[in-house]
Amino acid sequence: MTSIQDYQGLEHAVEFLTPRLACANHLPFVWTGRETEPSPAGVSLLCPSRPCAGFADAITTEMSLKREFLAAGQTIESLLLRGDPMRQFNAEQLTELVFRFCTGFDLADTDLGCRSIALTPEYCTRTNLALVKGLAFNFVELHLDASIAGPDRSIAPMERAATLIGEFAGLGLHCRIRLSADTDGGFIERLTTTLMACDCREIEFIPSPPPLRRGGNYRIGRPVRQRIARLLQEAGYRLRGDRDFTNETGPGNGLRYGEWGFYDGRIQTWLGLGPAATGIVRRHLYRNARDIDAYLAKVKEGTQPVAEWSEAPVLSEPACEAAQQLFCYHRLPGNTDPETMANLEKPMARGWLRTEGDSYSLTDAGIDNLRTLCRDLAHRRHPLD
Amino acid sequence: MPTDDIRWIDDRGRDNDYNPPELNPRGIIMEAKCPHSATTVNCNDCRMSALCLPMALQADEIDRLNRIVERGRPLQRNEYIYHAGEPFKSIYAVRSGAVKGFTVNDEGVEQVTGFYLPGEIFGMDGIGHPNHINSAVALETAAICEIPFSRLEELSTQIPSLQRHFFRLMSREITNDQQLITMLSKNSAEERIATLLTSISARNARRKLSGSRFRLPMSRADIGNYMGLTVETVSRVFSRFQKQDILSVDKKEIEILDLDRLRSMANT
Repeated sequence: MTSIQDYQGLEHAVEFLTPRLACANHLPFVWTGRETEPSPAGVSLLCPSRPCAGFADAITTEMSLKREFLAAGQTIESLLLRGDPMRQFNAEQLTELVFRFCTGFDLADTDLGCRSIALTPEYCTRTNLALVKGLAFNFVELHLDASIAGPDRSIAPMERAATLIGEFAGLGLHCRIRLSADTDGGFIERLTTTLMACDCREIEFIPSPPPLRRGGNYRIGRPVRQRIARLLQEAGYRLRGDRDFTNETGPGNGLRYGEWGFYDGRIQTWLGLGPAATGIVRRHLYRNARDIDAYLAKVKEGTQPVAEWSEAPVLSEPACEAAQQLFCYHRLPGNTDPETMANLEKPMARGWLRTEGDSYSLTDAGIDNLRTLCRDLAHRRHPLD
Repeated sequence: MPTDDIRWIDDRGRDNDYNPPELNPRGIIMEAKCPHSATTVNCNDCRMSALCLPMALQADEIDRLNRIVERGRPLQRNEYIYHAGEPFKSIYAVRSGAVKGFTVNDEGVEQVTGFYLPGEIFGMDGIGHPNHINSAVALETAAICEIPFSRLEELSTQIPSLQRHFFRLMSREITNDQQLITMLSKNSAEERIATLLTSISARNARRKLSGSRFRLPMSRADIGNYMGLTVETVSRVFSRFQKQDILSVDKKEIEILDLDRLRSMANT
């Protein structure tokens, strides 16, 4: 049976941002063939960590199957290869995947799109990075596991990987660092400083359970978090969400957060491919079968591997929109709808939000409890709440 | 007139079994097995089959591939295989000679993007685009096999090993191009020239030719353009390599005297 550890990249679980009511596993809307969708779409491919025979072929098949989710003429602007793609694709399979992507979809004619691939340091070789660059990826999402990093752990492999990425002009670096309560604070500081020096555009610190002990609070201590935050903010990085630092200028007020991380909100359709992948189509959410074998079996028989659809529209609820604003910008405009504001009375009383001019902003305590705040806010209108 | 049941011998000693040689468009007699000849070459007995698309195929699969390959007359020097902007329809394989790929920017300045030797596939810049991004021109008399891409795709669905090999070639081409671009941005003139020479050496060795003694099919100007160097710098580097006993150079004829040293300069 597949476990969550098989899916590196599902750390952005956004139950709090996308309340859903599971319904039948069929498309909850019908295309008439006359729909047009001016906004671009994105493709997010989630690759399991466990090597799976036939995965590359399955993804190619699923790409063809998922075409029916797109409106006529809808273009693809972003491609995200998440999880562990290099465990599933060798060089020629990766080339074929991108080839099928380029020839199977209408690509948006723009330089704004993000084409990123998740890599661990062991796969950051000059040959792999040359191929990645040649296939027109513009970001590497470097995954680092520092969950048991002691004070004397070397950062050399991570530094080597980040430096090599920097040798390829136009290939940007985003970093996802897995930390636990066992991670040494000095190590995090050294790593963060090195990544900043390598022009890392985004650094996300993902809390995970300490591998060597069970239970208890697994977040790194507050003093360490504050020290790292200060280090980054002094270098020009700003905090998004509760653990993501970036020095990139985002898409104005159009930033959104999803299971694939922060993204440009102009993209309102996401095709999620692979086992356990999530997608958004016509404001409805779907999730593919989580079990890898079940996913492969469905695709092999030529059927959509979707396990569930959400019946509730996910993007247009004012409460969900407010949750997105708080999560992405730590602010709410003063003209937020009264019902949402009523739901924020308790967080305000707790000191999580404060008034700032004609808007509201999160305090440090609010940022610490951001996910709880957003979940409560987004679920307020959920019928199961 | 001689008939089949009478054995005859002409004044040149040629008998009934003699097959007259084909003539190329310039009236020059070509031997039937000449690589520039279009009429008798077959993927099965092509000298480049061990490098080219047939490499991964069984005999009957090679026959099926051979049926979709189009072979025209040999191209003369500076003759185009395709121009940038032309609709992408085919990929190409070099059977003999050499080909240069290049782009031309808005100011009309040419930028060489690659050199292709026998057994190598080119034209893949058009894949995923409606038109070719680069142009391709023969550097010397060249024989080219044209493989219509839609037919190759169709055949690949029936022959999985062909599909795998094709994407292997594509990924190698893409990787080599990017590694070259990266190398150009940071290496010295000597390191760049060393990289090019070791690359040509290795590609010749793959064709079971000498990796240490070969003829450069491209001009010094083309080498400079490709490497991001002036033609004077290219000539100076060649002279320096001669003085250091790394190379012996006689116009386009190259003999590598110290391949290990050249490789270490190229960081390979």
